[in-house]
Amino acid sequence: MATTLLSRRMLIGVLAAFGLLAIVILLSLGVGSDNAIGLAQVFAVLQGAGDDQARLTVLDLRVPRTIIGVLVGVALGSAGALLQAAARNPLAEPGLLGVSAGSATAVVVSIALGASLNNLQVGVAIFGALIGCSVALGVARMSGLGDDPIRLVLAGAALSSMLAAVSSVILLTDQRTADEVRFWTIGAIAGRNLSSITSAIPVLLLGLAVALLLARPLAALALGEKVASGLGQRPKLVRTGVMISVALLVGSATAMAGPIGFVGLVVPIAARAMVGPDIRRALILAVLLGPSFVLLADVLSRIVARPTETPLGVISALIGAPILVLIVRSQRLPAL
Amino acid sequence: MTSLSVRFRSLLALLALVTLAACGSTTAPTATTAPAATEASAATIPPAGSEVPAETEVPAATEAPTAEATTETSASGTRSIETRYGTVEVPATPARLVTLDEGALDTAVALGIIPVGGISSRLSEGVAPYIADKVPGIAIVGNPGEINFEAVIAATPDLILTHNRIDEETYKKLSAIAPTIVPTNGIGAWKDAAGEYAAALGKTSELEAWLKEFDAKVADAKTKLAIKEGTTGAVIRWMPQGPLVMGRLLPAVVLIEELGLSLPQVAIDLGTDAPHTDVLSLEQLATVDTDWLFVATFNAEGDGALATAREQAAFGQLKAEKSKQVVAVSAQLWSSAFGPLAADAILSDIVAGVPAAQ
Amino acid sequence: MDRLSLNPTTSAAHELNLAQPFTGQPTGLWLLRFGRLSLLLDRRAWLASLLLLLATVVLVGLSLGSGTVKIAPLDALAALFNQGETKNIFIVRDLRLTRVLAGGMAGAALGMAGCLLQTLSRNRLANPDTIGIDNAATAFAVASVVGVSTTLAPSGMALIGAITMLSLTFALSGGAGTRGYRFLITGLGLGAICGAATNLMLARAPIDAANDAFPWTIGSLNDRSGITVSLLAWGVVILLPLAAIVGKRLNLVRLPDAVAQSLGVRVNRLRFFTILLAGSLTGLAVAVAGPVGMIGLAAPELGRRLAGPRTVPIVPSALAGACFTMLADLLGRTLFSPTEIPVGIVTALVGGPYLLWFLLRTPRGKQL
Repeated sequence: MATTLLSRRMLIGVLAAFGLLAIVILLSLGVGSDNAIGLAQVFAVLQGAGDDQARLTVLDLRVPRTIIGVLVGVALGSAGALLQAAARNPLAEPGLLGVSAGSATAVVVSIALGASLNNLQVGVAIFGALIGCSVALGVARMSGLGDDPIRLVLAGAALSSMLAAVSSVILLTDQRTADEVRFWTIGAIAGRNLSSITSAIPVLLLGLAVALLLARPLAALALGEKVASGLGQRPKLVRTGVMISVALLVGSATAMAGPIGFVGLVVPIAARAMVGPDIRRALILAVLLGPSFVLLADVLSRIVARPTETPLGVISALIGAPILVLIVRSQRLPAL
Repeated sequence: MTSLSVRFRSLLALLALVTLAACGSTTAPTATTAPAATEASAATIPPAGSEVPAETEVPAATEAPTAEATTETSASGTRSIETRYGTVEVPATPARLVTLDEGALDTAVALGIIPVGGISSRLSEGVAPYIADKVPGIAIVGNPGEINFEAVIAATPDLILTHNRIDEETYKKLSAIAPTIVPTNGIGAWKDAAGEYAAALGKTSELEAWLKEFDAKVADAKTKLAIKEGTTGAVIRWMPQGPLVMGRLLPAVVLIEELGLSLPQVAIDLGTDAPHTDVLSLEQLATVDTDWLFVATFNAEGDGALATAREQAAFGQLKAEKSKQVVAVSAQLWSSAFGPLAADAILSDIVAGVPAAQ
Repeated sequence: MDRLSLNPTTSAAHELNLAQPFTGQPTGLWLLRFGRLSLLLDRRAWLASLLLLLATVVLVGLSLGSGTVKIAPLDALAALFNQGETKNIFIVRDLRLTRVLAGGMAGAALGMAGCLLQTLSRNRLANPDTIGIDNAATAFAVASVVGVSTTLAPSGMALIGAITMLSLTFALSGGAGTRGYRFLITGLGLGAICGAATNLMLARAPIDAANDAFPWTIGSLNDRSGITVSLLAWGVVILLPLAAIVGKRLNLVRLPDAVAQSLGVRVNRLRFFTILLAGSLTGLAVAVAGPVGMIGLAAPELGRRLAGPRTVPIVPSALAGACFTMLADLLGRTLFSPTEIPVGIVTALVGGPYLLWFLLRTPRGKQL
């Protein structure tokens, strides 16, 4: 197996993705709302020099948000790759399928019950994601999936709008929540403390580990259920695994940054374009490309409307939706 | 083609039936609603005065107080009040007042008139906490987003006070219920808005007396606090992504300025149109780094939001936080309420939060 | 609920059946193939419409008769015909009737739009909530409430938003695509942008303005603008026959394209019209009521249940949509009176569990 994975194309892909990530991380550290602090100051601060303002900006603001951006990107990118492979549907994306909405609704409910945005329980977000995920894959498992990729998306859209309405109910009756949540529902990675997200990191790593374990069975599943069963895989078990893994990944990402759409759509597609459809390769590349996408969107979010920041979720929707339209316009989907 | 036409015919028949039936049940009303609306407004727009004789013939039990209140005064009559939508005749001494704005409620209560109906505050089921115990029996007839017109009718008002954002169509509906005052001023010129409400209530001189007393209180507080020239202060809300700075549209901001605190430039730049800035980037903290910070929070006690803000390193960098000059205040009171009582409450908040003569 | 499935045998059989009338036999093989069922089903569709109409009338009556202010049924009836106390006339005609009309017409429009989209895409999940038009209408309406510089009323802006979105989606999707999928997904994507924009505006707006905008984010029938309501009513009256005709034609598009074309259906043009019609109906509805969810999903389902699988149940869907919306609004304003619950919240709360059941049950008919 290992030898087939390490093709020339894969090597180039991984190197390119690493290069991109490095550039984007530098951008994320060097570009911000405060123009005065560029890369030179960043390096000075990182070597222990720099004035207070620069130290605060770099160490307390930009470094944490870069780290969180990387984590969120890893989580959403790999979750998207997994879901697309498991559903065999290029449109299967945590946001489109209602997984993020499930997670977000759970968070809204918990805030309404008295939690505060800054000490969100990761468990809540994961629980919501799990519900969204199980509904989405429950729908996917129903027959007719293979010949109709849109069914899943429509189910997700219906589920998302229902969950959004549930949130609205709470927001209508609970204005404190409404006021806190309206700043959160668009998703952002700014202003998060590293300490406040430490609980999310183990969950994320666990989800990622499960995802990596699932790569090989999923590749077998791509050959068809019968073949996979013949190869000793158990499709049901694999699907359950995907569900849990996606829930862990999306739940932790949502707990950290709020709902951010389209990452799980764009990243796996880019990954497959670079290294081909094999999930084992695509997953690795998605893990590397996810952070680049999130950070790039975040850097844009800081500079498009200085001195305020445009929420990351808006930027990612602005980037992602046209790509969605492009996918639909291309003839790749069987039923399109 | 035969099968098609057969199917077509059956469909047409069905369609015809349904459209006919639909005409019976729904289209007919369509045709009549337009005249109905105009009729109703035509019939009801000349309010109190013309309505009284017509209504007194068969006074409904619920309307008795209205009729009484108006008949008592209708001889010398009603007073004319200028509003955003023209001159409105109001009863000389309104007996059953409904306030569809928190500022109107505040003003009326301050002037000794307890409304029979009001809207819920944006933060609670009932009216705002700072005023709730003064209006125990008030009927809730809507929320800041929507008015329940039937509940307004059920309250049988003889005067309705609203805010200046009401559109003309809604205004017409309301004035079909009772004379409705839509002021030209809002929270940005709260003293003028209160003046408009007071005029409608026939309490202009009382309001003037009250305002004079309030100005004296402010002057008194100013001498007591003796804030040094050049001391800065800002009213903010703290979001995880960054602060949101309140501007001079809000009475609270005007008040801290009157008491001697200078506002940060971002607050001044807002002018008097927008109540607050967008959420500023945390990298722009320097712009709100003032000596005194009034942090408006939505928790009843105010500690929760402030505690979470304090977990963020950026908040700890603020001058005011370092010198313990952060005052937690109610966002409801400080960023949305207005009126004499609210102003009074805000003033007490400031006097309580800022130690005198530092 | 066994739909015509697309497997070769049945469609071939169907082809045969449809071909039969051309040979000159009147309705012979129709009856033979589907037997008395076909006759029964037509009657069933009829009866379904009548039943739903009855329900509509009852609901209109109930809605006119109930509210925070108690009015005796006879007084309410008199008031409806401009008789009796002025107060009652105002309540029944100006408040309740406008509201019933707004709800009934918006529900009918959404029901029809849902029925058209579902038939076109042969997918029960396709519905006006997911094609982005309501997101756009919401975004524009919120912009009108929140924006200081806009003078247009929210409902006018909502209509403009719906039209903008409809044309944009058409332009970007480059046509309907088979089963309208391209259009649906393009709408979904653009809707996501509008949703993000709405959230952004709400986050930026002062909270009072955000409060004013709230009814537009969930769907409400309180205090609707009279002009838009009558626009919607006329729109529904005019578009209903068109939708019925298009729906009838759509029955043929269930057949393979080649067969449909041989029967004289211009498939692409029909798809275009279907989507244009569904989009216009949705636009008119959301301009009045805001994004009321679930109606476009549930109404055609009930319509199909009652009318049977033979017809495309445009009229039953319209009536079912009207009933659902009026019922939801009636519940919303009477259950916790004097506190009103916006209609969109009621439909979401009632429709949510239904949707879950709908998504997770074992599928019977795979496709429409």
